[in-house]
Amino acid sequence: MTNLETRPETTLSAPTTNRTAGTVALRVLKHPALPAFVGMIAIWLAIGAIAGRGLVETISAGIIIATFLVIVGIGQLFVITVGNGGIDLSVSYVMTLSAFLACQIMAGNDANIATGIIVAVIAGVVAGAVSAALIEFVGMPPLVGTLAVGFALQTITLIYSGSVVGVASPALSDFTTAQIGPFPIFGIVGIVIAVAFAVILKRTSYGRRIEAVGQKPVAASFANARPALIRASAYVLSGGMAGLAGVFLAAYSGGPSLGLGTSYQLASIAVVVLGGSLIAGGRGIISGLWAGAVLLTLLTTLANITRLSGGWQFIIQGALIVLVLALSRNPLARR
Amino acid sequence: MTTTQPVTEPPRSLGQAARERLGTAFGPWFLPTLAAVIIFGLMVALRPLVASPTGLNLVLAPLIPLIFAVLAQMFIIAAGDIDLGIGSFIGLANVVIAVIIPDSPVAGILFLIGMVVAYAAMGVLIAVRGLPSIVVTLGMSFVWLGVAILILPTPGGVVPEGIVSFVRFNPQVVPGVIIVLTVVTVAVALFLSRSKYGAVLRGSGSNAEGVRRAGWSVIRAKVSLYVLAAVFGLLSGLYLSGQTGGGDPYIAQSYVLLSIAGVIVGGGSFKGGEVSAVGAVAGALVVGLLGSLLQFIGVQSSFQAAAQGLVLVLVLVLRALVNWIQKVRRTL
Repeated sequence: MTNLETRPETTLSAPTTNRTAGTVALRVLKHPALPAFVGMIAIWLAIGAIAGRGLVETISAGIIIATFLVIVGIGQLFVITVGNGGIDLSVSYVMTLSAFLACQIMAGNDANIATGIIVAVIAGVVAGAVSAALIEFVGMPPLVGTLAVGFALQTITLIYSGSVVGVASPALSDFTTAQIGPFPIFGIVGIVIAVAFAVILKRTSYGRRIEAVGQKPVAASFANARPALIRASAYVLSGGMAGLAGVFLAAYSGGPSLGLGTSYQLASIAVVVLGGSLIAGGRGIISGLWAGAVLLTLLTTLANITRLSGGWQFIIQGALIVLVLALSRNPLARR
Repeated sequence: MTTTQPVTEPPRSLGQAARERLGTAFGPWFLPTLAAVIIFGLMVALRPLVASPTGLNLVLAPLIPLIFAVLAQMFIIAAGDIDLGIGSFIGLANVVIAVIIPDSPVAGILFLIGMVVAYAAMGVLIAVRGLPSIVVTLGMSFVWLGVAILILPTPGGVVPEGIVSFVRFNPQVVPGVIIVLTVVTVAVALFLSRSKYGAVLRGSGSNAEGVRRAGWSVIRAKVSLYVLAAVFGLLSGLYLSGQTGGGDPYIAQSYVLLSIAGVIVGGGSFKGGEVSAVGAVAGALVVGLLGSLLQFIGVQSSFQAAAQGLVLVLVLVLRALVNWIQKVRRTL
């Protein structure tokens, strides 16, 4: 009764369209990615209010920097979504090594862009394949397998980087900061990548297997999904994405450095959690991941504007993950 | 998580039974202890002075904080979880001891108690909500690190003289490190494998349903394990502070992987419940002494992290191989 009284005209005049509009609104309200988008917009507006900076330039700088996180985060999302305790702690080390490799090959020359990027991605794919072998064939927990690979990569990078003076190609560097009118090209690339992987995850049989294996590995194996192989593919994908992100980040920041990937280890997991994907696997939300990445990036911007110390930035990022996990409804939670 | 398939046990042969008796006599601690003794023997062969009381102190003292960290990790792994925050937690304890305690001992001690309470709360969150410990402890590690950086942005501070002399306590008769090592190992081993509550704690990781049916609270057991981990994390921080004399938020970052490696090398399993205190201490000695041995041979320090990681991988690969061989033999 009360429902009818509050909205009498609309229900009477156009019942069918209203019902669909209502269900759409309900779907938006219940969508797991909504909190990430709301948080992103809130922080965006807060930056405008506090710093008095232009809203357009804030968001356009934000989505450029968020793109590195989106690329790594998508790999991490696939690994987490295949379940079985899946997590990739090697991404930060892959990024750093790939950055050094690619910059040595590019050596400041635009002719070598393609080779540089391909080598960086291959390095990541190899690292991911080693992790996958340790986890799926040796039976290591994902945490240990990827961390062990990560530390091995860190040592390789430490020794190898001493003899390398790599410079990213200028064209690639320009590409990461270029704009068409108010639109940052690299930011749009990030959105395109996110959309492409959302389609892969939700509309292709491969993507459905990724989610199915994360929900019910036994049932998925009856459906011919081969859980071990699907899970292994997620680690390979994650390695490749981390390699790609490493090259772009090196190009954006002027060159490789030993600490290049460090902050992405936690952040790549944070954006998956913030975006509404299930941490226990089985459901990946890439739109939420994108919003989560922009949210985290803007949060760093806000912290820098308000001159918050580095300690607070760590605390906020860490507490945010724990808080979101604690508040989220987690129907598939295991362990 | 894992598929449970009913395994039909074939009739056991005489040899198999004998092997099993041998296995229980030696326990999971036997191999890591043997490995630690062999590595120590190699070090003595390279530098005979290591075997002298002073040499023993010099070699083993830096491993005491690591041993406490490994025991802390062991409690969490016993719960079936993994702690990625123990390194930052120890770093925070170190900073509190080097900065807050000299100014105001009461505030410092309250702070340390607060840290244990926070760890207990984290355990409640993980146990009650069924959250993945890896992500929660990784998130919290940034909170510990952030708080430590707020207290001490750059390495500094001075650890009180009393703590330094307590940690460096070294009577002439027996090296101090041997006393600490023995007391801690025996106490934890007796509590974990001989006391009633120790069995409940281990059971909470391996057989939660059994513990519940026996009338014990699984959640309380898990939280107890987190509290124990926090206390051992503080002890690790205490010894680290006394040895270095100053504070540094990043001081114990390498302990995250090393502590996991120590527990696993020491015969622990990620399945939870299957841990051994003696094994964990031996595992810590293997991982730690290996670092010293590499240094003796002249291996660059940048290789050491990889070498220690490699040992962990090797142990797990070997164990997988042994399991596989046993499975093949059982089906034959």
